[in-house]
Order: sequence, then C-alpha cells, then structure tokens
Amino acid sequence: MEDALVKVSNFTQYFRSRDKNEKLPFIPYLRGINLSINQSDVYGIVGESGCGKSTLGKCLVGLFSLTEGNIQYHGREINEWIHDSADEFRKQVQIIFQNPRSALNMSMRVEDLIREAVKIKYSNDKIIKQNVNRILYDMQIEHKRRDYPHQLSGGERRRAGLGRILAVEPTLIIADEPVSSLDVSYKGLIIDLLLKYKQKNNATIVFISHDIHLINQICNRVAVMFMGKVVEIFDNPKKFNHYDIHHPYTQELYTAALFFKDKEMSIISDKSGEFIDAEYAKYDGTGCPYFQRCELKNTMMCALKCKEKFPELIDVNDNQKIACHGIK
Amino acid sequence: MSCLPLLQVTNLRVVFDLQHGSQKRIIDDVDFVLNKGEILGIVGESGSGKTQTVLALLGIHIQNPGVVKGEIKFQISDSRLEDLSSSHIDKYVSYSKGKITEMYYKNEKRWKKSIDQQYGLHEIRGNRIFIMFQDPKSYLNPFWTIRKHFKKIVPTRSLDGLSHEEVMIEALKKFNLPIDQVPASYPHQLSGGMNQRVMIALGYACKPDVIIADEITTGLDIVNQVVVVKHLKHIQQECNLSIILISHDLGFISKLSDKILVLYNGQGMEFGPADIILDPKQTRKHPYTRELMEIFNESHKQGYISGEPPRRDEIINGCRFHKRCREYFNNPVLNCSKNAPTDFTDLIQAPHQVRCALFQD
Repeated sequence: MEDALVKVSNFTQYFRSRDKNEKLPFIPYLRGINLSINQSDVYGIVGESGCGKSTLGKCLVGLFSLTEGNIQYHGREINEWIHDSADEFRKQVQIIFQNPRSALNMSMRVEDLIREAVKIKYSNDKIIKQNVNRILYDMQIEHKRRDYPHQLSGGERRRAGLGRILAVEPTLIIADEPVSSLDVSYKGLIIDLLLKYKQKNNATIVFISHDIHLINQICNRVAVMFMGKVVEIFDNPKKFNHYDIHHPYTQELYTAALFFKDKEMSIISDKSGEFIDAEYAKYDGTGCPYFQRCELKNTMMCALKCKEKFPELIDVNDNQKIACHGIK
Repeated sequence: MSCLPLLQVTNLRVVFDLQHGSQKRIIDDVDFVLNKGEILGIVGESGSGKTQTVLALLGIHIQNPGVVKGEIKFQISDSRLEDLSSSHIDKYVSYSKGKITEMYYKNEKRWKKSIDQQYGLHEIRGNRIFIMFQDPKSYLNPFWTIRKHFKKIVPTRSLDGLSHEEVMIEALKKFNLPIDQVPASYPHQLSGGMNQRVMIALGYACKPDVIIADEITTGLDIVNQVVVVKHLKHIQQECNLSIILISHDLGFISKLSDKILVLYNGQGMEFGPADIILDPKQTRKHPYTRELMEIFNESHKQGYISGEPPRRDEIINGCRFHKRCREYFNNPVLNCSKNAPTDFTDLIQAPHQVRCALFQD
C-alpha cells in the first residue's frame, strides 16, 4: 500500500443545532468517513444536495475546526498544521468555491485579483508580471484584464476564479461543483483547463459534483456519499456501467443521469426518484441511511438488519467497496 | 375544433432606452407558434434573451422603460385571438416620448397597474399564463406559509366549488409532498427540490392554459431534476396544458419538448418540431444547433464552442453567429459577415425554419 496524500480516518463533523428545543444540541453532518486520496488522483465525490459533500470539501481545506477523527495531509494533521503555519498549508491546498460571484472581490480589477494571488508565490516584479500575463492568456480572459468582476459573464468569472487558484500552484485542488449552472459551451473549457494543469504539475484534484456521468468521465476513483456517509468507493469508473453491481443509491444516480441522455427511456414508467421524500423523515444515526428509499428492502431477507446496524464498507472485488447488507 | 394557435409571436423586439439616449436591443426578431397541449422548448446560452422573451409576453420587465414591438397573439376563447401587444405597447412608446416620461418614472407602479387593468393583462397573468422562475426561494414569499400561498394565489375561478384547503391538499398529494408538515412551514424550511415542487403544485392548482418554466432545473441535483420532469409531463398530459420550457440544458429540453426554438444573441436561429431538430442525420440544420447537439452527444472534438458568446447589448452585423461559425471559417466565400440571412416566413405554413445563408434559395 503506497502512502496516501490525504488520509481521512474515522472522521465525524458535528454542527450546533439552530433549534434550541431540539433534543440533540449537536447534529452530525458527516459520520465516520474513511478515505485515502493518492498523489495525482482525480478523486470524485458524488451525491445529491444535502448529503454533505461540500462540507467534506471544506473540511479538507480546514475551514472548520474538526470534531472527531482526523484528516492527515502528507502525514501531518491539518488542524495542527494550520495552527502552526496557515500560509504554508494554504499554498499547497486550495478550494474552488461553488459560487464564483461571492469568491471574487468586487472592488478589484481582474488583473489585480490575479496579481494578488501570484504575489504569494513570487516576489520578483518581473516574474510576477510574466506570470499574470501567462495566466490571463491561459484562462482566455486577456481582453477582460481591466474589467471588474460584475462586468464579466458567468463563465469568465469562473475562469478568473480558477486563474487565481492556479496562480498559487497548489498540489491539491478541491473543486466544489465547478461546472454546475454553466452553459454547455463553457463546461468543457473549465474541465479542460483543470485537467491540463493537473497533467503539467502532477497535482491532485478532488472533484465534487452531483452528476455521476461527468464524474465517471474525468475521475479515476469515485466515492458515493449519502446522508453524511460514504456508501460506495470504486476505481476506474469508466470500466463500470449502470448494469454492474452497485449500491442501490449509486444505481439510482446512474438511472437519473441516464434519464437525460437516453432518448428511449420513457418518462412515466421510470421509477427513479419515487421515494425521495423519505429523507424528510430525519435519520437518527442507527441503521442504513438509505433504508427508507431502498428498492431492495422489500425483496431482501436483510430488512431487519438494515434498520438496526449500519453496514460497513466491504471489498466486493479488487477495486470496489460497497456498504450494503444486501450485497455479499 | 379550431385550428387557431394558442399563442403566436411574430417579429418580437424588445428595446431598452439607456440614459444617454442610446438604445439596447435585447431581443431582435423572435417568432414562434404554440398550439394547445404542446410543449415548446427554448434553448440558448445565457444572455441570449430566453428570459426576456417570456417576460415580454406578460409585460413584466425588470428594467424600465422597455419598449416592446411586434405581435403577441393569445387565444382568449375558442375562436378569438386577443392581441396582447398592440394596445398597451403603443402606449409604452407614446408615453416614453416627451414630457410625460418623467411622470411615468415617478408613478411607475400606479401607471402600470392602470394600463394593465385597462387592457386586461391582469386577468391573463397567473390565471391563464403561469410563470415559474429559476430560484423558487426568491419567488415564494418568505413571510407566508405554504398554506397562505395557496390561499392568496389560487383564483376562485379554478376552485370548482371546493375550498382552498381541499384544493391545496389535493395538489400537494399529487406531487408527493408530505401533507402533515408542508402546509404550515415557510419556504426557507423546505429544501430546494421541495420548493420547486410546491411551485409546480401551485401552478397545477391555478389551472392555467400555459405554464412558463424558466430554468426550473438549474440548481437542483440530478435526482430532483428527474422528479420535476416527471411531474411536469404528468400535469401536461392530465390537463392538456401548453408549456414553455426554458433551459440551456439540451438533455432536459429533449426529454419533454414537441417543438424547439434555438435562440442566439436575441434572434431565433432555428424553429421546428423536436424530432427534426434533434435528429443528427438531418442535413438542414443551423451550424449552432449542430455544435450544441455534438456537445450533448459527446461527439464534439473540443467539448465546447470556441469563442465568446456576444454580450447582451452587442449588435453584430450580418449573421449573428458568423464569428464562431465553423462553416463560415472553412468556407469564407459565404459573405456572412455582411449580409444577414433572411427572416423566418409564416410559421404555420412551413413548420421547420432555419435562419442561415446555407439553406436559403
């Protein structure tokens, strides 16, 4: 087993409840997560909204004080590292936020925004100027260098934000839904730029998205999350298909993604998304989180076990781990 | 059975007056026809004027004073087409000239309300044409519970002798919303997908003729998108509704639409039945639609269309798309940069039309 770049072990994150009458003052958002991300991986995290994938992304860059378990980066605990020297850590780990509008300073020009980031890495004036020009050229926003963020279109703003992050030359990038709500004509460009940077600098990317189709195209390892728990991890997603063995939740994500791609799939007979409201009933932490929506629960003998015990991640074959009582 | 279309839009133009006497042409020549029970999909990049088109139908513009030209005909009863445009839009034009403009600025709201009532627009809005916006949280009133929304919004005409409570319960049940919790909760207490379904339930309870769905699936995750699509299809089949879908996602549009309109920089580029437009073997197709199709089918070389989409106020001479067009790049003899291709002709006579120099006699 090679040394992992990022190691998340037994990690649980609690947040304080807003409701004062609630029985539990602290609500667990992430429960017992174990992940290991290797050098130069493109690691995908999939799940529906509210499953905690963005929270995990923010935890990986140390935006919250961690509550249980630990996250190690290069064999060193990140909270300690940030406490000792935050600058050093932030030079190596960067995050692309979901909303580019709030990530850019509205009172600075694009050029200055990027210069600010380049200054962290270099101190020579000439090299700074060269680097700013190179990044503006790479991101194809040279003609917008004197504009303010509100004058840019959505895609240009996204690229300006990306340029700022690549200017620091990090070794780990966490991309939190970088292409959601972007036009088709932009999506490919943003992903191209990210992957090119990864190739050139041998960087690691954690790609967070709800679109399993997109994740499968670009990632080499995928973790599927549901209700703050990892329910499946598999390598080389290109080899897998929706008819292979999967966790029932992954299966549901596959059908949903296929629904928009496949013309043949009829609208009324398809069953995916029927049980979506079961999530409204709160999950109390015991048993399988997916139990209420699961299609297997009526057919399988394990129905009783599902309610009582959370299934552990089990190796199904060489490159796939599934947490389900129904799959042996 | 009348053969009149439910909604017919010809040569629609929207022009905004700017402060220094200049004008901004937001929409320049959009035409489409919508029959009863059909679903029309409007595709285009952001800034192509998709939303402005439907705002013009209802006469609600964010920026004032907007001048709307062209014909918008809406079928009021079986045999009568009411022109939504000519009467009140002439007023817009005349009022924005001369001294009266200032008064109009001051009493904008009151003025607009009186104009609406005079020409019957307020009866159409909400009752006959129901619009759903992209962000349900900003569309639903944060101070009202869901129950109050139903009480205030659903008109008496569409109750059919039932009480508001009964109508609400029926609508919520239809869309799989838990009826014990939802009516008493506020919009911020529900998730994005549930808010979107509450909005569709409201649209269903109002029983309109046309539903306009403006980017309702962006911001939702993929499981919720499937649910929304299913519910839309369901109410369309049950009530024989017409729906106008707006999206930049070709997958979402292709799943539901009977007809498709492709917009680029405020102009309709192609209009026709969905089978013809989405058929990759079809040769008579606008280069822009072709590239969008290739990206969607993952057969595109780059994965994105090279070049920037034009800004909202940018006016390009000749064909609007020629700067990014592959056909023009490979074959510059076409003269697209100078001569604009001819406009759409009568849409009822010829259902599939392309605005491109390649396919014109």
